[in-house]
Amino acid sequence: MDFGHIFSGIKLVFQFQNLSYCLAGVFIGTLIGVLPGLGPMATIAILLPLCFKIPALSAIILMAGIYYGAQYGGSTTSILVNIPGESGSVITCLDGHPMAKQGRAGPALGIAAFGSFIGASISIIGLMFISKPLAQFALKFGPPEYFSLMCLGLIILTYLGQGSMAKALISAVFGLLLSLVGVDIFSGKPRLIFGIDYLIDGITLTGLMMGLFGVSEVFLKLEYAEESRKREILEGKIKNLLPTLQDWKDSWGSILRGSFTGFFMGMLPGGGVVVSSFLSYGIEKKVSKQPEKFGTGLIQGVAAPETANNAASTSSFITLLSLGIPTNGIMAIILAALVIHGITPGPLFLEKNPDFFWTFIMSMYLGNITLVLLNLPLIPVWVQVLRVPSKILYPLILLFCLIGVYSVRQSTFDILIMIFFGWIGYLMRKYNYEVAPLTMAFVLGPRIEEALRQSLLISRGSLSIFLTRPIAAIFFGIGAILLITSLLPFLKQTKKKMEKFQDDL
Amino acid sequence: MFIVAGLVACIEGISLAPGNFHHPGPGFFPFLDGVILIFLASLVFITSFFNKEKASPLWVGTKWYRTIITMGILLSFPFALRLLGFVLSASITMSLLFYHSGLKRWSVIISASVGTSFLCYFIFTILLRSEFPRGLLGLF
Repeated sequence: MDFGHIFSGIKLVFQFQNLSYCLAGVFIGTLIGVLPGLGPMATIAILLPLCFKIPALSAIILMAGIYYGAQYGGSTTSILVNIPGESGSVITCLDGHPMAKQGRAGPALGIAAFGSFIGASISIIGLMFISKPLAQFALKFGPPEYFSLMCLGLIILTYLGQGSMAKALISAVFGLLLSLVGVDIFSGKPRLIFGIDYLIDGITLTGLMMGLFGVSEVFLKLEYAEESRKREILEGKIKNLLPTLQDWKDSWGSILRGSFTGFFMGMLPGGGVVVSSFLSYGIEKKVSKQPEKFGTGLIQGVAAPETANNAASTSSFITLLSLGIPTNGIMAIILAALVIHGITPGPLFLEKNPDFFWTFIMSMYLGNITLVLLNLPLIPVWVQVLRVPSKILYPLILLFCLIGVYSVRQSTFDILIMIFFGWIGYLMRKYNYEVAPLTMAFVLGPRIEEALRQSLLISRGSLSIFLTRPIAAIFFGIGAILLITSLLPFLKQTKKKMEKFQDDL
Repeated sequence: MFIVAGLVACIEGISLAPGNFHHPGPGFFPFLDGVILIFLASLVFITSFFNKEKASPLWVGTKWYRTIITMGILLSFPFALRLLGFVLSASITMSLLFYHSGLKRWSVIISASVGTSFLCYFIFTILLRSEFPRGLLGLF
């Protein structure tokens, strides 16, 4: 490990600008984590215009702070209101809210914060040690390996998605299609622009992201009456935020298991905070001597998923920075923002940008320490935040989207693009199509096409290149297994339904 | 919607010369993408056809027209921005959005709209140095 760069990272992170963005990121992250409905993906998308105007290092510090800060904030809403503030905290509701009802909101919030801190710290250490060897291994990758890895990432993301895999795959393929709009990098010919000159540079990332995540979210929420959007917040003073010795005794094993589960799941393409939190909760139930008590207010049911989601949010940067592959939608947005700044994560990133890398690592340490120190004393403030009515919040989000997207290129066409994708995102969510695969495919699209065309040129048109190169073959093999295992039950069900339909006729 | 998008991609791919596996052309990837999209979308369409009895009404019981009105307000913003300049267009848009979201007292709506518009003006033009049109009146 290069201690010179570590010290340089410490020095740089304490520069006023980086420090400010780190603190702003974790504060905004916690804030949006607390607010149900507006997740870190929407927030990062909304703040993209700001990220383009600040240095790349400050931008990634800010975006990462929002991401892991949201995991801290999400638990507060899950525990106090029984509504997940963030998707990674869905499972925390099961035991967190019953704990709060039993008068143990304090220990639940406390163990969630400390667990998150421990999980994130273990992940940061992993990030420091694993990134370099992984990047060196990735130097062996050529276009076929990259193509197969990116395809595998998309397949895993759709496989682990919450709804139908076919719909998630459609979302991904549609995202790829959208990424093709603009000029073809090989021939210089414009594609899919339909005579609209504004589209010659492609669909703007900010317009697409802000539309799909910011605007569509508000569109969806506006459908419901104001009364149904009101939240029941647990009244009374929250006491004993510091867990007791017995609480620590009960939950230390869960925290350790959650840390490692989150760490490994976060690194996998398609993994992330949701999968890791559900998986760690499942593991806790399996190893527990009293699995039937889960869901009644067990502290292990809060400690494990909250630790795992924070560990995963940190470890997902390993794959992004070492391989240049985003593991989920948020990483895809961060990758796109970095590329716009002229920084390309990948195997050579660490070697070429050591100061950038180590300052970013140090900012994560600092951000997590800040979160654990500030989060618990600020609980009363977060409770007040929950009382902000949506009739104030939603118009503000929309205005910020309108102005933000315009400010990037001073183009009113970008506003129209954003509204269009707001509408598309709204329809997709309504019909249970996930938007995260679309985002990831949109960002990876140009690289996937480039890798495919380069692979075909290398092999002189033979697709066997993806099977004869061992690493590519392994990635494709895993992808094929996942597709087949998800397709078999679907085909069986369809066959049964078709038979029933014929009988009915 | 996805089947149509896939068809468009296929047509565009063919018109751009897809080439072949030896020499993939600019239309190669759009064509391939379009074919996969049509296949998957048809699969989902056929399955949903056999699943009709399970389908839940997506639009019943929701105030979906609020989304349409909100979209209308948002669509008017770029035109208002060019015509009226930043602060005035943002104030009007915010007033309409606040009213439409459920705020009913006009004094609160107007003060909140003007306040947020000036705040955004400060953040974007003073702090972030973005430029916005001044409109026909030549104001902010």
